[in-house]
Amino acid sequence: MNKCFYSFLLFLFLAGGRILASENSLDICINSLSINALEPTNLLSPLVFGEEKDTIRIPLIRSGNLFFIEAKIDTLIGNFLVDLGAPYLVLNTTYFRDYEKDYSYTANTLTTETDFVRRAKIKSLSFYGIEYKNMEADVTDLGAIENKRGLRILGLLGVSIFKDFVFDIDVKRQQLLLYKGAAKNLSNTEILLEAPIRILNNVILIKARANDVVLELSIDSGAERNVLDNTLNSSVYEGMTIMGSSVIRDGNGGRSEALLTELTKFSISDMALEKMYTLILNLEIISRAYGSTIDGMLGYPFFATGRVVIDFRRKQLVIYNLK
Amino acid sequence: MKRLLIYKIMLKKWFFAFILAFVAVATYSQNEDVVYQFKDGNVIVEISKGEDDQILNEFLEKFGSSIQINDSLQGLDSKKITSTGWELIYNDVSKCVYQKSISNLSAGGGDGHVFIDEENTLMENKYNLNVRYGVNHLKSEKVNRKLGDLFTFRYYGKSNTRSVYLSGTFNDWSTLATPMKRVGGLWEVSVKLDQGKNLYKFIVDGKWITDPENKIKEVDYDGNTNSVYFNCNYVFNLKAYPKAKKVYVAGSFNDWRENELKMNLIDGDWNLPIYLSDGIYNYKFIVDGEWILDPSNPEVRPDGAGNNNSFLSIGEPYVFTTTGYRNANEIILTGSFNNWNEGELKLKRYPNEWKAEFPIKPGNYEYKFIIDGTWFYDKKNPYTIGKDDYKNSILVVEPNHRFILKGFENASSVLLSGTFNGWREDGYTMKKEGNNWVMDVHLPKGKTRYKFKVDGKWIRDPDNDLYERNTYDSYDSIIWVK
Repeated sequence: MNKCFYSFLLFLFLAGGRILASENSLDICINSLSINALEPTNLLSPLVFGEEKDTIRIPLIRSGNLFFIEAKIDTLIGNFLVDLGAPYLVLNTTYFRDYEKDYSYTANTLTTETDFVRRAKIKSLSFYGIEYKNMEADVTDLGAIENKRGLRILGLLGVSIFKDFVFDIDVKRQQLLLYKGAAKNLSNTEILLEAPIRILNNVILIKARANDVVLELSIDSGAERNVLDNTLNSSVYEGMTIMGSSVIRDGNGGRSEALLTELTKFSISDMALEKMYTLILNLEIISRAYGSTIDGMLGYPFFATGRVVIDFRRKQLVIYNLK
Repeated sequence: MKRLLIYKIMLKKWFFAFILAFVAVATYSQNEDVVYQFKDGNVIVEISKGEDDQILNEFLEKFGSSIQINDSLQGLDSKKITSTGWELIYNDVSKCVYQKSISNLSAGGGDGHVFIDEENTLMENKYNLNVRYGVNHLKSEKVNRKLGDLFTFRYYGKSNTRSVYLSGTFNDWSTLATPMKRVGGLWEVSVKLDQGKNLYKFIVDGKWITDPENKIKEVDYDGNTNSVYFNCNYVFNLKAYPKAKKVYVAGSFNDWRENELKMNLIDGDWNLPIYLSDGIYNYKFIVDGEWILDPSNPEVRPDGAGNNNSFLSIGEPYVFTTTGYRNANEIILTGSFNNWNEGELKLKRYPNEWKAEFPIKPGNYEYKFIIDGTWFYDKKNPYTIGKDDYKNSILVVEPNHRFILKGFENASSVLLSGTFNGWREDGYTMKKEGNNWVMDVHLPKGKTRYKFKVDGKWIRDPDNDLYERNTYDSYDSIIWVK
């Protein structure tokens, strides 16, 4: 087994636990969105234009199978994880502690630990000529990611940051294209997958089929591994190859078991997704957290299949073959 | 809002959980003696017992802490269902088979938010920067060139190229920090490089590309292909033999591979700029197949097999001195820098001091003296770690950060611990200086986490605004070193 492979597990739930936030949680404010696609701004550096004027080309910084954008929050510039598993903007407490407002929550939580959840108001988020003003963001501790990746991480850029664009990511070339209008015509490129998506509370959901069982999975660029819940129809798991298993322990003695498998007889639309490493977990706690069951998540292995184009307005996902 | 809150808390919990998952899976799946399969909604695990039952014991320890190993081995109850849900369904002298319904995979317990990261997967070695030697293969020295401490990167852009950035290990792979400037048909920028190996790429109109003028490329841990440039610190030079056809240099730095390091004929001299990490090396030139000593180097040392080699030392030796010990006959310096070798470094007696010179990399080391056969810590050094017989002194080579703790002038002891010393419970003893406690330490590039232990109580640095929650439900202070 390739040692590199196991590192994929590490940040699996960085976004995994973030999907399907309830409707009343979506109170992030975007008072203005300015796309200065014609002239460079002084916010960061000169804009990087694509072939078309309304295309913004962003080089991604890769660490493991996570992909980062350098962006600016007010006066601070640093790395932000491109995280379609997060509904919106999340900031790292370490660097935004002064921003924290008194939004601590105490009631009806699973624990008494409220320190993880704060809200901050920021004046500006900008990257490559895109600027969002007067936003709210969650502030949480992302130190563990930093410690695993050795990268200074200011926060996570979730779906709300990208959903006014067509999102075109090519992880192999470490490139993100954002189209203000329609996606670039890739008519000469083989289409591997063309499927409808559903956007629920800034979570991207897509229908998949495993051994003829229909599942609804989230699209999560912040997950380094695919995940399936362990309570699906048992035929979903038949034929899967189990590569290993593990027990997860927490500091209070809690234990969780996980199985590492290879997907078989798994497809989305007409695209077969075989031999992708996937974890099987009990997602009960996460499901309980947002009050809805989920079947699983599609993470990095899914994005690595090709150039993934997500059109939020048309609610469509297309994967082009990378040559 | 309630649900959002819950979700965020779970995010934290699960995140740490998966750090541990990483460790466990990595251990198990490399073991071919554990075979899994799905059947009828169950996970079935067949475990070879082996000679020492180690594999089985590991499995039971991990998944069935309530299982009595001896019971399992003796097959006392083939239907035994453990408290963790694993059922022993087969057992003989060579293997055990357990099964569990997949729907019964446990989902953790309690409200634990304290998770312990047992695995260090820092990407420090992602780029394999800590190499012994390296040479460059640029298509033309005119394109990329070194001038003093600055190295100028150049890129031939197209006429419609709009922007070019330089990104590499020297600027933490920033995509914005180092824009290149258009100069005629070229884009260029001068940067100060790290010593030794540097990795980099250009970002041309938003696209990552390797340097077309640099022949050395390397794939990193993540699968990225990067250009490689060595910031050289030595030049091999051979002035004779202008009519030779091929000249190579080989030595202990490259394990004497004779056809690897080809020298270049420039104005009648054979040259090869090279990066060599600090240390001592033997080498020879190979002129059209004939091994020769370096005629310009008087330092020649025998190899113990009847041959002589040219000798080269790179880097300034560290000079260690101590005073006192007038009645000692012999003092040996031993420490973590030489794997606690008990005879290698003898201090030389001088009229007023004992002294030794030896190569050592920047860092923090533990050491002791062996004085006439007895081990002592250095009582003249206020910086120590450990207690009693396990107390060692601390040697800091090239310190780059001073830790200062203010406001605890009445404390009787302050210890310093962090990622730089493995979070030792008995951390470095800090020195009281006026009303402050201080210690100079060498910190590696990147993120350092640390805490102080004041009279037995751990605290974060009250004067450092950068801190993060740790897995012990408290906070660690943070320093980033560029």
